[in-house]
Amino acid sequence: MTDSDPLNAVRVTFSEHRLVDLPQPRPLSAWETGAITRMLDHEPGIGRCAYEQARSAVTTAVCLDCPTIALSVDPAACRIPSLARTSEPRWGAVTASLHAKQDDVLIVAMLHVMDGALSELEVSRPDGEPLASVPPLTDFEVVSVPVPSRPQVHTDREDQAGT
Amino acid sequence: MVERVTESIERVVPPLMLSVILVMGFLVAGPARAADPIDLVTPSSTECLCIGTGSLAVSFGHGARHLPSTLSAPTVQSQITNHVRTNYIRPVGTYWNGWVYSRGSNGRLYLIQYGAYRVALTQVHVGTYYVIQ
Repeated sequence: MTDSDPLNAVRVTFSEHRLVDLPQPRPLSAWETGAITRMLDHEPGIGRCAYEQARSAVTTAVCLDCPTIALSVDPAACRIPSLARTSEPRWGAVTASLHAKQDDVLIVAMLHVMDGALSELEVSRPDGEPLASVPPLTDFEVVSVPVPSRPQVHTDREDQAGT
Repeated sequence: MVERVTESIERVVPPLMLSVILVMGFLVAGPARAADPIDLVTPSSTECLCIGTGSLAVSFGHGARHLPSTLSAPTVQSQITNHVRTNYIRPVGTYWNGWVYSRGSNGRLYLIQYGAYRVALTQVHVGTYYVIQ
């Protein structure tokens, strides 16, 4: 461990869950489709486009030490209106996530969106350790984290003030 | 000199009472600690860059790939680190979400949500973060 740079960076051992491209896209597994659908079912106002995308989605990249996958949807599929491209690429995530415990270890699944299209199903252990398998979907509960109207945030100005 | 002081104390405070006081002091103040402990021994396969000072280190997973090119991952991670340091008082094993604002190179202010997990007394892991507004 070193702390030689201005940020006092230290190296520790953690999995970074890097995605590796597949030679050929593969269809989603039943678990992946079920997880996506379940999160969409709990997303207010997500609309039909998201479901259309989920039906056409394939996996283009996989995580080597976790069940996270990159998604690609039919380019002709309509875009999710609330997250569609406006003047610049829009990034986001569905607010509904899935939480489960496996051997007393928390597992979280999330659905990311880019330019109005489903882009990634992220499944990981919040403690950063590798995750080899997932429990059945029935073990997961839906957890929605709506953005608070006035989130307690750390602004640029606070950053400069060092608070 | 030390013996004289000890004898003086023992004249005023009986040895048994002195022992009780010392034990109570230990229980209240806790054992002596090394300065700024950073105990980050976590077995895994690969390494990640973690930012740590003092008694709390913040490690990051794969959030950087969820950022648009107008945002700098080191800047965002530094902001999240500062936010975690002022909001991390949660038990070990707790997961929570937090938010930071970060200004992109295009001048736009992005709202970023992160997921944090208290791995240990000295370690918070931010597994992912992503723009939500």
